[in-house]
Amino acid sequence: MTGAPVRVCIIGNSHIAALKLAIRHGFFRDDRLDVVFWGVTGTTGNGFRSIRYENGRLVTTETAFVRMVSEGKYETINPDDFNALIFHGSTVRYTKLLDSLRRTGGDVRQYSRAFLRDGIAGWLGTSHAATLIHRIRSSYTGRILVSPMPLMSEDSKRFDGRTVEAGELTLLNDILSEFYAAGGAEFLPQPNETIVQNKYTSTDFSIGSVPLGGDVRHRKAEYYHMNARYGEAVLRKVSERLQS
Amino acid sequence: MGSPYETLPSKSFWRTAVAEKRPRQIEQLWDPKFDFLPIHKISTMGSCFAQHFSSALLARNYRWFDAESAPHVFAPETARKYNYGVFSARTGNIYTTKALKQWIFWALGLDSPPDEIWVKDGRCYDPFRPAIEPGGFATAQEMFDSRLACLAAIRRMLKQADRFVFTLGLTEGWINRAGGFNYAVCPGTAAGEFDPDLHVFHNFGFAEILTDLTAAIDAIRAESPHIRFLLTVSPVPLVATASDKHVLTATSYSKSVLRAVAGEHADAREDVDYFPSYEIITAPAFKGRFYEANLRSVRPAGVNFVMKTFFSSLHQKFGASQPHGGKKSGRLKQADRPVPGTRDEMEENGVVCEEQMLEAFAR
Repeated sequence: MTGAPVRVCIIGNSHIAALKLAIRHGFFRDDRLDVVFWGVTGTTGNGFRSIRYENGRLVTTETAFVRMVSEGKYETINPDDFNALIFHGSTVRYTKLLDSLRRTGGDVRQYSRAFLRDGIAGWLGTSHAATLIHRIRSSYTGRILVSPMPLMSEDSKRFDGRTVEAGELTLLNDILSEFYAAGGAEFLPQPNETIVQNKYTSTDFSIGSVPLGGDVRHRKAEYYHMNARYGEAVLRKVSERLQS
Repeated sequence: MGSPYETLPSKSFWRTAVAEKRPRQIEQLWDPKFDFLPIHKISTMGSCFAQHFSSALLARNYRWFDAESAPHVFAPETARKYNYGVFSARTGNIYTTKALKQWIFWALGLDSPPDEIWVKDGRCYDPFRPAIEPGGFATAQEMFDSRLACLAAIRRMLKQADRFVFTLGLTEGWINRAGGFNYAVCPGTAAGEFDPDLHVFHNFGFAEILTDLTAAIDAIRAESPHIRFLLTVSPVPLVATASDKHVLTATSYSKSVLRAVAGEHADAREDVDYFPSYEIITAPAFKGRFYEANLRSVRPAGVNFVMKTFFSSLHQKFGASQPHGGKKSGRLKQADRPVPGTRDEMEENGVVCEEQMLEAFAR
């Protein structure tokens, strides 16, 4: 794309902090993108669930918080003010999905594609994020990208004892892409370089994560949120996708 | 010395035990050899009727063992649609003891399943569980991967289960002449193509059925010596017979042979018991009250009575069991509620009885 920067709104929960930090600390810089952050953490009121789509705008009861996150600019969001909306972190709980599929130990590919498709559609279809996306899509003509909650840090040892093959993630990502494509959105898998053993986010991308509301670092044993390097990796993928 | 009949209890005499009793007062039908505790992992396999056991166990908070459970984040309706949670492994109905032996031997590596696939409208079906995947599998590889997962689940089941309940369903089956294996249903019914040169009808006899059942149970016991077995015979008549006989007489033969095998095997082994669900449903004393209008499907009241008899017999023999999780034992009250897994619910939930497909051929 040439000309004016692509106006992008990154919407989500606490996980968008990694992306915001990437920009704030200079890990990510791309003049082709004009990025706004807008989100509510789980510790704030009803968290992401407080976000609703009403009268053509994204609104929330946590106006002070979203104003802070958006650097004082937005209490509500009109999707039409942006070329693209990126839902990050509040969409697919990837670790939960993988854990559930691997609970009996077998490869994800033991399940038929049809079963995975129906099961994932049933699981995600009623999620708050999917409902929001569906409602926005009915009137919004820009692009909607969906970026999942990252896999837990390898320090969590959540999947220890279970070997996960690359093909399993490929299958899941294919199905997730199909699901979101059917709803007019695009699935953006977690960047490959951030994943180790096909089941964790590398500690290179998880240690030193910071909450959305401030600069105090998470405790060392915080395995869910990622750092600015992770944010840079995701933003780079967002930029590449939006250029395509 | 007087007659040995003089000292027999009243249950030994038809007049006092049956003729002079109201049907629901008929008691002492089962003297269990061993207990079923709520902490036991109880696995179930067999014909359609076996599904009632799993439903009833779950309704009473017993630990029905699902060794091939659907991912817990998926909706129960989705799991049910794809036949998860019906039997302890996703085998579909197992109608014959030969089929049981096949599954057990394949799972334990004592034999290898054939690589035959059935194809219909571009989709692939497993000849040994043709209804397991609605609409068939997308590819042969997908089908084989799924079956491997099932075999792994059977191994898991055999290692961990404390009790194994098997319901014998049929004596009639279809065999592959070259490979000698038993199909779940006749090729050409659910999928596949019938080939009269390759596919042969066989009505298994007493000796064959007993041999296959013994082989299956011995293989399981070699793997897991602690398992106790409970055999039942399905009271559901045949949908159809390929024996050239009237379906009523064919049913009588089939159920008689299966009943005889189950009884013979249970009498011979300490770790095998027989539960008379067949008699409860079919005996003249109950006057056919437990059958639907089609004289074949078992009414919910029949299933309820069968399971009530099961649990009350255990209670009488071994005393009240504490429910799993330490809840109070209100079990018998729960037994009065309609049991899930009855015919209407099976149809509503899309549980497919492969044998039922034969009805489509009736004129």
